[in-house]
Amino acid sequence: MIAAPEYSFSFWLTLSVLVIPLVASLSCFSIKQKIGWLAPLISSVLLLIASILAIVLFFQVSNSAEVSYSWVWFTLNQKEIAFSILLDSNTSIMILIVTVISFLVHLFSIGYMAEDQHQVRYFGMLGFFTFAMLGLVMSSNLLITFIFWELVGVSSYRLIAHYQEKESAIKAATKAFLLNKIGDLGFLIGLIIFWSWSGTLEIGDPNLLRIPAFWLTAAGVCIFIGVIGKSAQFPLFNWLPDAMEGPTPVSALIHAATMVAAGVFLLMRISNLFTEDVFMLIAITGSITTVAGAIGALFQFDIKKVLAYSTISQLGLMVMAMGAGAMQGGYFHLLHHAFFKAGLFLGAGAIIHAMHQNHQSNLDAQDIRNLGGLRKKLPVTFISFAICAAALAGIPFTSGFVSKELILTQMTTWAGNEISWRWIVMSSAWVVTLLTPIYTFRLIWFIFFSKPQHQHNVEEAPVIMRIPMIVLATGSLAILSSLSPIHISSAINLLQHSYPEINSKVSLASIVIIGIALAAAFYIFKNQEVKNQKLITPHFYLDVVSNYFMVLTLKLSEATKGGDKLIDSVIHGISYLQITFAHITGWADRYLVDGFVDGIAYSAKGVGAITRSLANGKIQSYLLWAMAGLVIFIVWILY
Amino acid sequence: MSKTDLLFYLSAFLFCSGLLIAVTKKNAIVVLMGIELMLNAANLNLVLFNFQKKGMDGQLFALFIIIVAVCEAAVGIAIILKTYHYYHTSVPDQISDLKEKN
Repeated sequence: MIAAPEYSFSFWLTLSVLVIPLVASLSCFSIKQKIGWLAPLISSVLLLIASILAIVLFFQVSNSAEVSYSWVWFTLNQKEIAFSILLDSNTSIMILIVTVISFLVHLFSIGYMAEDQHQVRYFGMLGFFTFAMLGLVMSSNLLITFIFWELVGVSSYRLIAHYQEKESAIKAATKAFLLNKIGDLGFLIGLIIFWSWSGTLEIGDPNLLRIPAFWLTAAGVCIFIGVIGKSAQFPLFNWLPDAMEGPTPVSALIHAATMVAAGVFLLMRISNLFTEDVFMLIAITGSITTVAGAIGALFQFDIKKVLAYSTISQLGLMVMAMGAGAMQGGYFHLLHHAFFKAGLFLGAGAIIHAMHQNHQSNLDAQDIRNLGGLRKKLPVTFISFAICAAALAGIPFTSGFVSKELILTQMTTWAGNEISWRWIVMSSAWVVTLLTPIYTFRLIWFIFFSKPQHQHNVEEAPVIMRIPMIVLATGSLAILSSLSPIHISSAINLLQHSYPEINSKVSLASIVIIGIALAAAFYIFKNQEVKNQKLITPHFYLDVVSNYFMVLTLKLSEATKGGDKLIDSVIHGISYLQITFAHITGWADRYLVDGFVDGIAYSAKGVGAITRSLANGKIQSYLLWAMAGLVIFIVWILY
Repeated sequence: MSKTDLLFYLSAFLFCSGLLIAVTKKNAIVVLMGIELMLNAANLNLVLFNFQKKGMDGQLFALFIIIVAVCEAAVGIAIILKTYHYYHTSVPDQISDLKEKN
């Protein structure tokens, strides 16, 4: 990477987009408690500025070519680690999405968190979260990416644990943190492999690919483990439903733009580093995740947990698509998903908020069995929620349909005509296409249509919460990214990729499947009273997996402790050996080497004394010795 | 044993006794006398060697040495006198300036 010599307009734009959320965060943290009510306003305004700048930046980048900058941070053994930024159209649209959704979440939070005691901390962390994610998106050096990756993890941890007085929130945050750490460890090992073989961590550097095939695969797998942790893939996805303990807008941010999107984004960013085997692993992991998430969503009663499992399912779909080589489809779906999932969470937040405002009872406002019939009472929420849910289900004329079409088409092409393991992966995509409308319909039906169990005197959320929902619902319409709902090639050329032709058979088949699913769901749930719903523990194997991992982690820590002790004792022994050796060398030094030197000096002294004794100042003795020397000389001459 | 050989022995005797005097005697003047004896022994040798070949160079050599020895003796006595003035003794043993200072 060669640093661009001149700092152009787009550079300053990029820098300000990155820095403004940080400024928002810092100003929130430094604000005095007395004027704490200012914090939400300040950070929202700053985020608005940032998102406007991001829009400008997006058009700037899509007009001109890629933007890349690089500053050397430090040099290690003549290898450089640089703060480098690489902006192409993929990155800039991600920046756009992150800032816009973050701004909308900020706006929503003003209403949602109005009565919260710790608003200042909350908004500060939101800003920091956004900053970390933007840094992750912009950086093109894997080490810097990793640093921001960890920052994203830390801020999500803080935000999940926002309700500190709830023990479950603390536990959920800790779980999220720990499960993420497993993944991060993999990421770190991957980085180490890359560094030790190629000596560079620049994403665009061709040297990264010139390492032995085995190690390339190993590094790819390790980095993918990081993605598994961050993007809640099988088997590390259990933290995501638990993370619902955080405030609902945070869930919107985590699920849409920041936390879980980071993993999928990274997959897209470094996809050129993966080998065939890694792609296979990615596809299989994604397919397991997507089916497991969809099944999990079917059995949940907590409105937010349904959404959480659907996120897992959709993330699995994206990861699977990327593993199958459908990079564009997966990435496109990530962007669309950001919009409709944020919209769904904000809608859920609005419902919960309305129920809480009600003060009516101590009902669990998040349990969909307690809701029902809210359609007429919360019309705005209902419409925006329904549009976003339609996008999630992949109903035509929504954005979800467009990107799902792309994924299904590319998957079908990828699976080929011959039956192989790829068919299993592909079929899971179809299974999810079938399952998603069912659980989406179930959610909508229970919240808005079914006969209410209790009388709710709820009121619509305030305007400041309605606006973000309306914006996100509009963003979930297909019209924003593609003029024709079925044919993606007419998409506004957002990503500057050429899209493959959509197979009309695939489109037709998916429409049929979605129709069947909706009809079936309608038939299943229409006459079913909510109370008749069997209380199925939806965790089935998930908890087992989770517990297994916890136990494994504990055992691992025990083992590492034992290993630590072993290493300790070995080091101890080595140090003892060293000390003994040092004593021996010290003795040898003192008595052998020093003695030798002393001996030489002593003998020199002795010789000197002998020679000196000749020069005793007595002329006669000098004479005698001179004579003796003469005699010796003569004798030597003669014989 | 010829007469020349006897004279060689005499020369050796003179040299040895001169050396003995120079080394053992206490007074510097006597030491100087011993040195003169050794010089005479050397001169005697030169004259004797001259007998064994033709020419006069050995005897002339001896003559020059006697003249130089006279000068040398004069210088030596002057030095001894100077030393006596300086140290108030003419015994070499008592003068130890040549020895290193401890």
